[in-house]
Amino acid sequence: MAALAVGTSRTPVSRSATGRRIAIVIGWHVLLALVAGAVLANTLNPDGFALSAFQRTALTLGAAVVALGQLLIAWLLRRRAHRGRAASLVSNYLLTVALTIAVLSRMQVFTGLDEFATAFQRGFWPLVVVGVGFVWWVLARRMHGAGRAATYLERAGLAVAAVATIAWLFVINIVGGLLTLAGRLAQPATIALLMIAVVSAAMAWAMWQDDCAVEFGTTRRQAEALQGWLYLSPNVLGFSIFFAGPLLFSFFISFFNWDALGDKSFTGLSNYLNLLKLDIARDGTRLSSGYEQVFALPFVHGVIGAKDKLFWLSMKNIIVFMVLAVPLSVVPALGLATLLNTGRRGMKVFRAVFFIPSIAGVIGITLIWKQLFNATVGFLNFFLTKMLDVVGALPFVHFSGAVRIQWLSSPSTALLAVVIVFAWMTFGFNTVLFTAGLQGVPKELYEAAELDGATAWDRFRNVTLPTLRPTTFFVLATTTILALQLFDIVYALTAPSPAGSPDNATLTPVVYLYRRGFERFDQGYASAVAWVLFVVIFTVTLVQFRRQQRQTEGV
Amino acid sequence: MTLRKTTALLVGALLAVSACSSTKKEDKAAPTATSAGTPAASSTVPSATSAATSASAASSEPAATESAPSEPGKSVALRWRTRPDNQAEIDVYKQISEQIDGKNDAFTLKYEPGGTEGAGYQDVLKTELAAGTAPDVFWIPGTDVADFAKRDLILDLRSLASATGHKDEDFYEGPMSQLKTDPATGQPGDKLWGVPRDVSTFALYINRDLIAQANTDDPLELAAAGKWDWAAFEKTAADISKIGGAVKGFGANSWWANYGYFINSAGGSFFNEDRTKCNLDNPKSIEGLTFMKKLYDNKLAVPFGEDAEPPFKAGTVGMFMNGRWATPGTRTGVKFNWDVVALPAGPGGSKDWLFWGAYVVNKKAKNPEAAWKLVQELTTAETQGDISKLGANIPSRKSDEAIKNFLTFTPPTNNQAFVDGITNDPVSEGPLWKGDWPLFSSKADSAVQALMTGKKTMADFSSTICTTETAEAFKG
Repeated sequence: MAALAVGTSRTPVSRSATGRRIAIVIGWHVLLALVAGAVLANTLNPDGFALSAFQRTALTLGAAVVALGQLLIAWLLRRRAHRGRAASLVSNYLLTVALTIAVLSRMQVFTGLDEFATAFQRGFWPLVVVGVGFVWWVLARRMHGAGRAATYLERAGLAVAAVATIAWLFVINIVGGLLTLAGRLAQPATIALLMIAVVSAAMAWAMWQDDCAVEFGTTRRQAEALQGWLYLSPNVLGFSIFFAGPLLFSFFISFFNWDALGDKSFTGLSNYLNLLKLDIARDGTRLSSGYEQVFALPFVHGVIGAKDKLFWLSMKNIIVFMVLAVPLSVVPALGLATLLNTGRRGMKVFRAVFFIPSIAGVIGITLIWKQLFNATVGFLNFFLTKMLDVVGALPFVHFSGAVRIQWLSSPSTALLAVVIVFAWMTFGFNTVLFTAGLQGVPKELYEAAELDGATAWDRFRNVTLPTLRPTTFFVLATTTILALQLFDIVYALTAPSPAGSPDNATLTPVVYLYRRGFERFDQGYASAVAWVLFVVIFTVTLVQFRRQQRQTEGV
Repeated sequence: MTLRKTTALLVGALLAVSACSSTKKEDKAAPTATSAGTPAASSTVPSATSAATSASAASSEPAATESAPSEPGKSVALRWRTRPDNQAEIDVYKQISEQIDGKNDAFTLKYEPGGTEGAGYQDVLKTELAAGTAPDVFWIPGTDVADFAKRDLILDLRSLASATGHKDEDFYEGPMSQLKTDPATGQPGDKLWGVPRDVSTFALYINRDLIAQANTDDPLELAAAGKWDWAAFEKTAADISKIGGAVKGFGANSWWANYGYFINSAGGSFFNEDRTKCNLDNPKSIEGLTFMKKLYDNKLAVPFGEDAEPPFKAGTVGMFMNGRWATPGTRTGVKFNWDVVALPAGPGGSKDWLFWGAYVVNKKAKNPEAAWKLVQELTTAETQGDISKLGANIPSRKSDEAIKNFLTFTPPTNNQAFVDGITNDPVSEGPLWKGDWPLFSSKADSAVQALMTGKKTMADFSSTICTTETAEAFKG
């Protein structure tokens, strides 16, 4: 495949100029390798940087990788290998981004952004007047045929917008802001970082040019790949820094004993072992030392004990929760969606109404439910009492007295209370998903079924359900994942008692993770809990996916 | 790009630039922070600073040794935080922050109201400390001082305090002995981890209308006559409960201080004398829990574990045990005749809790002297007087004038009940220097919950609470 130009520059550049430019870039990479080498030498020197053992190891490895990487890039560039060009572009691009962030950070731009809302508030009214002036101007321009009056109005609108803009700039103190930023920039270290960022950007730019692409024999496909990666890079960087990075870090620290405040100590698999270790005692034998009973074994007079009783208790709770909450969130949603899909007048209003719990704030809703659940003055018990009064008034039924279910304070009902709140919050969203799925069912199928004499139930069972299978899978999978990750409802519903109260009846794996990680600051152990939970969720989802796949293939 | 998008981007960028100008006060602090360790900076160190330097040098924390004195005429930016319970409290602290800021050239203040207790105030704080974004000065509950000190998160202020005329004896002894504790020995020493912001005690919030309706003896009169003991309390609760329906004689929440009162008043305690072992299985402690369980078993109380405040505010609870912090909410949230009465005396005498919290300084504060100055300003008699006007706190200074100011804040008419709680040899809440308080309290809470709800017998509780249930809290 022929080499193709890929950049935006169309200026012809002499071959020797290209060669000189590439030589400069090679020099730049050698320089970076030397800097990384110097850092490496310092970290290997016991009298070098004052670092913890972990930091020293990390920095040594990082510096070694950078030094070798930069030398490799320089060598590949010298050999005019396309890989060298790509690596140089990536290296300089990443360096520019990192240094730009460092410069902005040193200029306290990110801290300043905290004040963004305050600045907006301060300049709100002048900004409104700017908007009014602009609208005025736009309307005046549309007054065709109004002659000079329209022109005057147009100018007046512009004048209002301009004056208000100046007032706005004054009110938000733009000059002060610029001076502040300039003052922060005028620090030697910040300027140095900025200069390196500019040089790095220039190197990337030089390597991006068409003549370089030709020099390195870049094919169209390779050029397109580079452009594709460039467009993807903001997302890839964001994903790496804010998602994949912390994820890998949590996996890493799951092998350590670490409180996030001091030094880490490597513990190997002990966090996982302590978490998962079980012991069985049968026929009156005792559990091994350090194990606490979690489950009683039916029929064999035995018990299962665990090293970490609370983790297994949380797993038991979440399974019970899932078994109750998922059907309660999905089955009524399907029924409701079927009703809402009848196309009768006003159904859109109902759809919106049922969707509201999904978009309302979890904590706010949960706090309202907490009041409703109060055993003595809560509305839920009040309504149950009134309902039973009605039932009690029927002949031959004898019931009197107030219902006093201790929804949140009794270990036997607390999890049920959480199930109710969860189902109430999720079934509206599931209804909307099912409604969307139902609208995709071809009408012809129903007509054909009707012609064949199918009843409404037959149509639902043999047409609606099979056609809705992909939607049902999605709803089931997402609801199950949501259920397994349960945290916020429990946290708000049980506060100010410890999350998971009463008597750990509402303790879920994520609540347990939070308690270990952020109340006891056992970050390594909490990370191990997170990864075990990940494996559980992954497995459950995989099973659902496989089942769905088999059913689809069967159809 | 369309004109609309360009305009939006331009407005956003200008606002961002302008937002930077609103933090310009902090820039005055930047030179002081960056001048740390320079000979010029150290040559201008006043006496208080040398104390701070030695305090910092005593630890091996690099961030603390970076601290530098504020140069004359330069302003230092400080962030500080409390755990307010409501907007009114936030407003008061904000106002106090502005007042202190206005009269001090040494620093510029930014007050940050933290989350409530239910929102994990301490958890958020520790996470911020780990991330290096925590405020310079913050309030923590008394029970958490050891955890923060042992994790090396807060600064020992002793040398700074000595250099600036601070007197420990101006504050109540209970909190101060904990704040002076040396983590190495677990005994009061020459440390100073903070200064108490406020103190509080428990009292019984009483619904006088229900008491009148029950036609029973008035607890206020019984207390005045010296006859307010457990027997009288139980009888009052029973009489009120006889009204029927949802009405209960007594209500309390389920966290440790509530059952702790019954334990302390029976003559028991959570820990042994030097707070190194669990004492919940002591016969006196068990006696207290037995009396408490009787109230629940005989249905004289709001079911254990239920939030008792809503039914009290709804007028269905005769006596509700809570701290002074519940006063503002009660003042605005009830429509019946109410007051407070001291907690009844148990077999071990009148034993109230002395709750407290302290202002502490972040170990990594860049300007410990300024932070200490702020702590001093926040705990002056004048500032404490302003805060106590809100009604939620009792001043932590031993000052007759402060107490006098506090007593004028009515309703409740019988504010003296809270003050009596302080003067009658209260049990001061405190951390576990040789143990893990959060772990201990969570385990004890669970065990008491099981006991009160009938999942566990008193014999089981007694045999396991110290040997297995809470043993882990004293390991290491």
